[in-house]
Amino acid sequence: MFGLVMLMLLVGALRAGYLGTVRSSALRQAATAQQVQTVPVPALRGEITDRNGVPYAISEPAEAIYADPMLIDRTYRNLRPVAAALAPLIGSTTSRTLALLRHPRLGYLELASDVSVATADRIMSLQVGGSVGVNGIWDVPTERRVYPRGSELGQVIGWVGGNKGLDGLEYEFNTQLAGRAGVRKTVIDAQGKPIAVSTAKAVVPGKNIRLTISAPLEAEVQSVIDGIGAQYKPQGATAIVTNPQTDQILALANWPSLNLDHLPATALTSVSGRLPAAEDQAVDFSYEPGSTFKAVTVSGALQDGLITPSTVLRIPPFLQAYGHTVTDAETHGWENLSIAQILKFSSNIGADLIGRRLGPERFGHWVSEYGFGRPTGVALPGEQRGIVLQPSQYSGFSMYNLPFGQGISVTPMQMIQLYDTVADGGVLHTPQIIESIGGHRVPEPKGRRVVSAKVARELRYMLRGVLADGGTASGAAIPGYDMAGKTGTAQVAVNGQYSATKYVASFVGMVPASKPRLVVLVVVDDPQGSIYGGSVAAPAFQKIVGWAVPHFGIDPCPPHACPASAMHPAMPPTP
Amino acid sequence: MPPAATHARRLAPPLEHRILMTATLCLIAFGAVMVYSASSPLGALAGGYGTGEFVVYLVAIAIGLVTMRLCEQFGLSLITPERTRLLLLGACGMLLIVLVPGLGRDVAGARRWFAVGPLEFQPSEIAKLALVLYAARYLADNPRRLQRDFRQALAPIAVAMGPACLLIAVEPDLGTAFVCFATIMTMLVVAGAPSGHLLRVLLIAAAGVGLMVLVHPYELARLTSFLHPLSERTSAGFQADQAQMAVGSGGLFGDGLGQSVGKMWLPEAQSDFILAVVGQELGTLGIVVVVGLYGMIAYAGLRTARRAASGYLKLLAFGLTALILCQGILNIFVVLGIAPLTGVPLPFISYAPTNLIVMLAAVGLLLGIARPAARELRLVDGERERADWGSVRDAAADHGGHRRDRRARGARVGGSQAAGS
Repeated sequence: MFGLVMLMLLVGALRAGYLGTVRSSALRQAATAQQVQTVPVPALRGEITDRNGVPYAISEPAEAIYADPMLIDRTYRNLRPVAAALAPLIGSTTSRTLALLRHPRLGYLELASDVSVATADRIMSLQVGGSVGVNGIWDVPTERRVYPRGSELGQVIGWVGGNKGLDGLEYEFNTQLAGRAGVRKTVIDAQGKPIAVSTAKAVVPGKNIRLTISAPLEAEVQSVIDGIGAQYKPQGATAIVTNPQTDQILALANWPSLNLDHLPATALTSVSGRLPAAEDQAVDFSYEPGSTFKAVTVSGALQDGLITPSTVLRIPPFLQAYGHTVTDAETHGWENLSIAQILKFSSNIGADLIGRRLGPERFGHWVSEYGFGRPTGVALPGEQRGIVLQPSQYSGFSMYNLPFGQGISVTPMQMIQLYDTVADGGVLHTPQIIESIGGHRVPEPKGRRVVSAKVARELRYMLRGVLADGGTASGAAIPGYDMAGKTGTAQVAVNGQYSATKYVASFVGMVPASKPRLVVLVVVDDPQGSIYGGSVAAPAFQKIVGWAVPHFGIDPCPPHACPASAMHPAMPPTP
Repeated sequence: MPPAATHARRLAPPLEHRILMTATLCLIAFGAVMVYSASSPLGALAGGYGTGEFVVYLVAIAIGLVTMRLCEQFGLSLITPERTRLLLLGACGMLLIVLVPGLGRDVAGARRWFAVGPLEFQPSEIAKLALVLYAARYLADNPRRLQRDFRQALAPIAVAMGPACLLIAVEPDLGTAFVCFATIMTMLVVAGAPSGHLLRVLLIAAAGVGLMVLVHPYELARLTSFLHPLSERTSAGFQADQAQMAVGSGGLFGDGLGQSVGKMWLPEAQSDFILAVVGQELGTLGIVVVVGLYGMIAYAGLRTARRAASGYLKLLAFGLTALILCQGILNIFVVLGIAPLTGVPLPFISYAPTNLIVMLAAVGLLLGIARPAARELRLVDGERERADWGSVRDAAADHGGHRRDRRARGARVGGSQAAGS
């Protein structure tokens, strides 16, 4: 009897040993499969903020709501109350929700991709037919991207679809912003309630990106550019404000604007679903710059010692070559103009005469030195390089055209880089828009000297005249402020011919001219009603600068040294 | 003080007494730890301190230990044939009452509990003990009867015990019914019943189970689910799966006390499936220790039976040991997936207060039989018998029965007993 009992006990012990050793791993696996849920933990996408932390793009936790129509169909005899309860919470109509739920052979269906956590909680605790929670509805933690400043900086920020950046900085810096999702293991009991939660793979949160943008200025620039859009109904308009001392972009606005919080659904799904308004014209609008380009011609000739600010050229009424006629904006007879006056009155003929002194090779050299024909390298996606001919490719008429900025295609970013160089003592830097990523400062790119500080200063002082009485942008001056700038009114080539009606009006200016702290470029493509840079773009410059100088603490120039009233900008006051 | 020393040595508890005591106390202590481990998470999740079952279990241990001590001291002298019969009748009565809606507590479709205010107990547990007591008494009193033809030999036993077994079975509590049946069969074997009789009883029992399955088809699923482990994810198969997963997950040395996840998946983790929790938290080693402790009880119980003073005490010791071990082995087999799913608690360890108290009472009786006092009784049989057994007629019957029994059994089952011991 004892033997029998012992035998049976031994059988039990052996069975326990068998389960505990031979079958252990399989049983443990089965237990794990049943008891441990592996849930991906999305990394919260990094924020994009302005230089002071004002958010442009932030992520907040959200929940995606999924349905199992098959299970719902089996659980609920009548689907209508289920749909009626769900519809308002997922932002749909009862009938549309009902149509979604009526797929009794479907086990997986996304009802909403990103509802707030509070809404998800309400959905998960819905009471339909007595029990709490709808059988067959579940939520998965996700996040949603929010753009608190709506349409400001929209094209620069870009947008996100399915936690992937699809455009703008969201696309360009997707890797840094996205971070890396973690994995969470949850041990659950038979009712599915979690018992223990452990982290199998740590979340690497997305890095925050701090831009060089100043949000208040950005808001002002956007409203000014929106004003231009409303007033002149152009094809497009763009404005860039930089600090030439640091080469940081302080504001960048485009018209038409893009409201990131109300993007059409097509834009969210793929990169190919592009919107015209999504174009960041600052980097992907190529245009013939017109007179603003004269800075290249003049500074190059100054640096080569071919002219001085006071060199006086005899300007004919017109130039004729290769069947084309070059004229100035206002007809005139023969006249003598200093280089400063050529810039002040924006004489095309004068620019051609300077270009003639330079010759194609030297002119081409300076165009290339200022970085035209190449992307500036600014950290914005989709940057164009413009179209620049090599001197060897010049036609005979090229040197009649190029010196005043026709026959060459540039981007606004290239133009502001040019004027940043002039403002920064002749040293060219790539404009910066990213201040720091994940708290690490992006190093300032190394500069490259293009012209001497003296040449740059001479050019700036000559450009004061543009805003002085009689200059092409005299109306844009702000009394008491030492400003310099250049208007541009460029013809637009349509089908190989310059259009008689389409122009690109632009203005680029800086303040204070002696040591600029702001450079502002305004480019308006095909304005209606007025075509001149001085009348379309310069007032926008004036508004922006008028707002910005007190904001950035730029003082008016001291009365005795204030050159705004000086009618001879070519003569710099002794420093 | 030679006399005192001699007295002390004479009264020193014999080996089986000590083994039984040790194994029982070890099992109870182990049970307390495991009940707390298995029951506290659910209790805590429900919002309490998670000590509800633990405290009740401790109270049951206290009551049980007192009961054990009382049974050891006075049990044997209190159990007269009349009282045995009364106990069995009372247990049957309670089993009937439990079936009455409103009086018995219905848990998951089974009427096993009998609630009096906050107290509740399982009459089937009392019935088990009563059956063993009655069977021992009957078999000891009528050793020759077993040799008669089937009807004559077993009819009285069937009449007395059948109703109790049936009532337990229809609760339904197949597990306890099986334990009762197996225990009585063991006692019949020990008492020397012819194998032909035993075979017939087995056939009749099998027919009974078959009938049961016909009436309640779900029983078949329960009974056969263990043959298809890990195949069914529901009901009976689910529980067996969970138990084996828990044991398997524990491996050889277990995940550590309190670390079992299986107890969150096992229904009745703290009672019927506590061995699975043991397996997960303390590994195969923990199960082996438990099995070893039962082995000690088996050894001590059977040694007690062999050395018992009378045939009645011998049968009683056998019966009580068998009662404990049948239940224990059945539970172990169920949890480890080598027996059909039947809900019996693991003696001493499971959270089952009534069962614990009854088991401790049984151990108390065993200890009483193993006591030096009882051994002494054997030495001075004639003089002490009268005082102990109460009536002259009983004493004479027992005395005679004892002698006859010894002769009869010596011839027939002595061999198996010797082999077993």
